[in-house]
Amino acid sequence: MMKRFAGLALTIMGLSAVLTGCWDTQYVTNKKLINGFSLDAAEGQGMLGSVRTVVLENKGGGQFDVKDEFMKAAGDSTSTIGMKIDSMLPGTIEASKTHVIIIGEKLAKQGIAAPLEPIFRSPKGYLKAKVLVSEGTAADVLASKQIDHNPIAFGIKQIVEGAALSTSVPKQTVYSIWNQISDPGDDALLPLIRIVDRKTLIVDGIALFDGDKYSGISLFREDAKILMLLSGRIGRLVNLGIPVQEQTITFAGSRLKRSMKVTVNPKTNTIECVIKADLYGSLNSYPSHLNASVDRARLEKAIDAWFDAHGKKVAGAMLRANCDAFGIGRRLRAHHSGLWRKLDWNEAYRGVIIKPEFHVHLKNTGVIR
Amino acid sequence: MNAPKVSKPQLFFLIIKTQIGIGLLSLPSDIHHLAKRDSWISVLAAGMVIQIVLFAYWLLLRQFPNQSMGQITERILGPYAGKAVNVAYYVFFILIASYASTLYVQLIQLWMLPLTPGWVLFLLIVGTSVYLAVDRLDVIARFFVLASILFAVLLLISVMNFMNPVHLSNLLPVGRSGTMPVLQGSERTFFAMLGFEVTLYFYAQVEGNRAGMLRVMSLANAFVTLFYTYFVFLCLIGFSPVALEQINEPVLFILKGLAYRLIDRIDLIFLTIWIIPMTATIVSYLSLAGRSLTARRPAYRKLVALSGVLVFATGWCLSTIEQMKSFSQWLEYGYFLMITAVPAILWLASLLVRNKEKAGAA
Repeated sequence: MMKRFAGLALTIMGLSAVLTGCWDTQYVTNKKLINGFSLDAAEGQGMLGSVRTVVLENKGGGQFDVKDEFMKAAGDSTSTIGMKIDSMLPGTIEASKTHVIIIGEKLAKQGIAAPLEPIFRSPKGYLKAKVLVSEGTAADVLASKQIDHNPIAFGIKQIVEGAALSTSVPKQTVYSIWNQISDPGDDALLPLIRIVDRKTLIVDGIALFDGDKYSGISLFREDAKILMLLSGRIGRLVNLGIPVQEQTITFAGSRLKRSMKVTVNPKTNTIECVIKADLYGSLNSYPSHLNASVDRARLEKAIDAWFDAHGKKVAGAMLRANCDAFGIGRRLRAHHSGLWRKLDWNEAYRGVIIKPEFHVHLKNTGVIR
Repeated sequence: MNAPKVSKPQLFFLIIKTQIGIGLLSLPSDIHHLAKRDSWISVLAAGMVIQIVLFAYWLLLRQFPNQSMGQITERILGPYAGKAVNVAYYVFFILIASYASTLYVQLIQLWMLPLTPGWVLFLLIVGTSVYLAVDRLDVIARFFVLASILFAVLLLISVMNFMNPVHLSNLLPVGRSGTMPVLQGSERTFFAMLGFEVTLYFYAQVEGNRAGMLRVMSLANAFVTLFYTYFVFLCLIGFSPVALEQINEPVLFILKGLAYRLIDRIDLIFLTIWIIPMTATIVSYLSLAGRSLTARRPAYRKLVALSGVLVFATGWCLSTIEQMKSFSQWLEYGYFLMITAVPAILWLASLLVRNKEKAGAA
């Protein structure tokens, strides 16, 4: 009796073990894989969304043609747009492998927490998706033509990754942004994508955020790179074109030592933040000095001066944008918690004195003297 | 049932495997609601409270080195009252096992298998647990020891979290939350660390002399406390304070933000491995349920099978309740009394009983 019961129990268990997957089986063939989407603010309430989906076409012989589809819809929230697009396309849409999310300038100024929330909340949401802000309408960026025969979303992803390696923009994902926009003592920096010459996509700027809202202030090229260095981030390299004596030299920084010190004047409660950045690198181009050896001390001084001037500009932009991406608030909370609790940080931040101090170390002058 | 013996290291693994389970996954945000940035202190404090409870167990068990809790109650309180207490223990073990499996099924449905019906998951979990729990204690212990290798894998996975931006300054200033919130946080932690009570039943089956038993128990407690503190610490430095309160299972979420070229969604890999410690907890409780009422082998096997059916039914019922909060609170406080107050009273009573016996012997 016992044996028969055990046998029966085993059979049931074996069956359900095999069958468990059945309810949750999902075939790729029934899926519409989204590899990138964009969100824009619509007139009045609501949002406009567009998606790029991948279509795999079997050419036979194990070869596939990767094609890109573009679809647009309007809705009140990210999820409603998703549902609308789902009913427009054959197959269920699958956002668990979305590589890029582009948010239009206007929507970013209204706040990015609400549009990103469904991705953050859903167990399937891909938190490693790269988030960008676009100048102008995000749908236009996503609607651009293919890059190197690759689906546009992959192309954009690669551009952003490349820009992060060259220290032009921060690596920002849904996951990292969420921590920054939710922390009152921290703010986010997002890569900025724009269209130049009506067709070329370029990622070379940083959008400064105040909380979850784009402040409208952005920094480009050299300034963006300096902002990255000041926040302690360096990619594989940072190439900077620096004007010295009416010509532009190229300095390639490869190693960064950065320290930040936040002090509070006990009498006036003035908050001062000194950021020291030591950048080690080499000289890559100095066109007029091909036959003379470089006077390093003088050159370093000139470069330092350039850095300090730009550093001040960047610090000024940060304060104007009310963007505390250096985490000065977090420092205050940790080390001056009495003051932190009294402060309205949103207001007090503008009164902070940010002093960037750069020191450039020319390790060598490349393969030329 | 005295025959199969387990060694002291095996007892260590029996305790930690029972303690570490589903509670950990949501613990960091649960405590953070109360103790904020001092959550890690709460965990350490809870560990100290458990140490005191373990000391009380040791005082009690020392006097009955070869009897498990089921026999001790009957010996001290007499056959009727003793039986009644044992039945109460049995009911609580079944309820705790059902409650744990309900949380477990809900978690799996939420994170991995949203469309699979709950009863299938219940059947798989309880079925597997019964299959192991009907066996002898040394078999269970061997499995637990083997499965403990997974803790090393989990620790390795958790180290990957340091690839995410972390802010040690989130912990500062230490002690800002105040004593009360930290203690309230400890209370929550205590319930997430339940499982040390297995010593009451497994103590008698440890082979060799009784010296060093307190050390084994304390080591197990220290391991679990540090393990929990480590994960709470990870979540505190990995999430901003606001984000941490928005999330239900921060320990999984923190891994969701990691991706590599070859491996993606490490949270799901972690959860898949975590299924084993979660099941081990249910195995332990089924085994306790069996031990609480009988000491004879054939009866034990039948009782565990019956308990499995009960856990399945209760768990399924529980999963249909919309608001589990009031039930879980009632259950937790009831259980708290059963595993702290009752053994403490028994210990005090045992002092009297032993004296009487000595008088009788003389």
